[in-house]
Amino acid sequence: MLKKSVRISRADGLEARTFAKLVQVASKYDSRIYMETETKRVNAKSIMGMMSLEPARDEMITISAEGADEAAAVSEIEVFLTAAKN
Amino acid sequence: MSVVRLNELMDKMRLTNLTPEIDPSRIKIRQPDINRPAIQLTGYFEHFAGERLQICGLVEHAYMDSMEEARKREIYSHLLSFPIPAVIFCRNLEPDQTFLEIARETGTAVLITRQATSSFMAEAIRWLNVRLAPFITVHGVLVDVYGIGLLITGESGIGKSEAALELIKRGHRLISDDVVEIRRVSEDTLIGTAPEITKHFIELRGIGIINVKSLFGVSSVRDTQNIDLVIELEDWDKDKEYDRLGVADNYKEYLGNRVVCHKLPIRPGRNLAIICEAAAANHRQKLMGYNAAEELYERVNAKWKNPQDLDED
Repeated sequence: MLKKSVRISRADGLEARTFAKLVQVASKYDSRIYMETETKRVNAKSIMGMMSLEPARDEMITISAEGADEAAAVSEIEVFLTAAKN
Repeated sequence: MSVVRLNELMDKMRLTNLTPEIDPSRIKIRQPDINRPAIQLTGYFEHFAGERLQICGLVEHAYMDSMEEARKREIYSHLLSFPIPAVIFCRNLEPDQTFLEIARETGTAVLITRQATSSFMAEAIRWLNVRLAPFITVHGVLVDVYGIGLLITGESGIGKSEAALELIKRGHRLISDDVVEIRRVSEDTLIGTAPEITKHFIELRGIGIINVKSLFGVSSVRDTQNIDLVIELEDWDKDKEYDRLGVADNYKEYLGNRVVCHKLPIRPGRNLAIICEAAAANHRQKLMGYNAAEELYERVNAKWKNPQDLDED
């Protein structure tokens, strides 16, 4: 189990389309991946779950992954959340 | 942890603010319990739950009326020095000027309502209990099947949403797809709702998002439902033993409450919606006092003990 807190600093923010992309990124991995804010914890492979997370800009999100490819999953999601551009 | 802001309570219970200089949206209520401060007004402050809402009715108001001015100042100052979120007067009984003056000094909101004390307390406690209930989000689909709240869980892509869609087509109702917010409102009640943002939507892989309410009508959705039964979908595992009789119930725990849970192995050709429907109907029948597995068990046992009894039937 690997956990990492990330501040959302993506230049284009997190709009619906970006969430869909993020879900696709997470779905590539076999690990179970969860995203947490202060009040919610959702499956990162679920588009509806990610939409209902409603994170604010600059909010901290905790990514947690469990499985063989957890390290790669967490680092790719971290890069995604903090990317300067698409 | 859940928090209710005082302005939300004011909107819900239609309360009037007698201390308008205090902003109610900055006051947080963290617990659903309330207190009637009658005994504190007499000067007894041992065991005082000073972080609760304080509700004053006829008794408190009449006693306050009978107090000497100096005594009022002493008692009110002591009472309002606690971190009380708000003092609420019922039956439109207005507190005296001294009370309001000290409340303004200590920054305690004073509210008033027309409602009678007992019914106001009952509704306030009920509402606060729901709003402040322990809360989690789970990955699953919640459907109302014959009045039984059925939570379908399982890995992404196993077919939860497809099962829900077929259940809806068969006349059952969707509460939430993919994300279910569960609140524990009492020791035996868990209530599930959809997050406001994804309410009435289902995601079908390959099709995208569909709006169940506008496609299938208002009778195909429901806002909240208790969680009575859990069905856990998983890939069929040859080496695993699945329940064949259903005599002993298995349970899944959410927020400390146990819910009956069936593990359902998936295999091509199994019609999930019909199995879910049968599970819900069977659960209902168990609640009504009949258990098919037990009857089968008894028949087999009876035959074993007295083989001729059954043969004669």
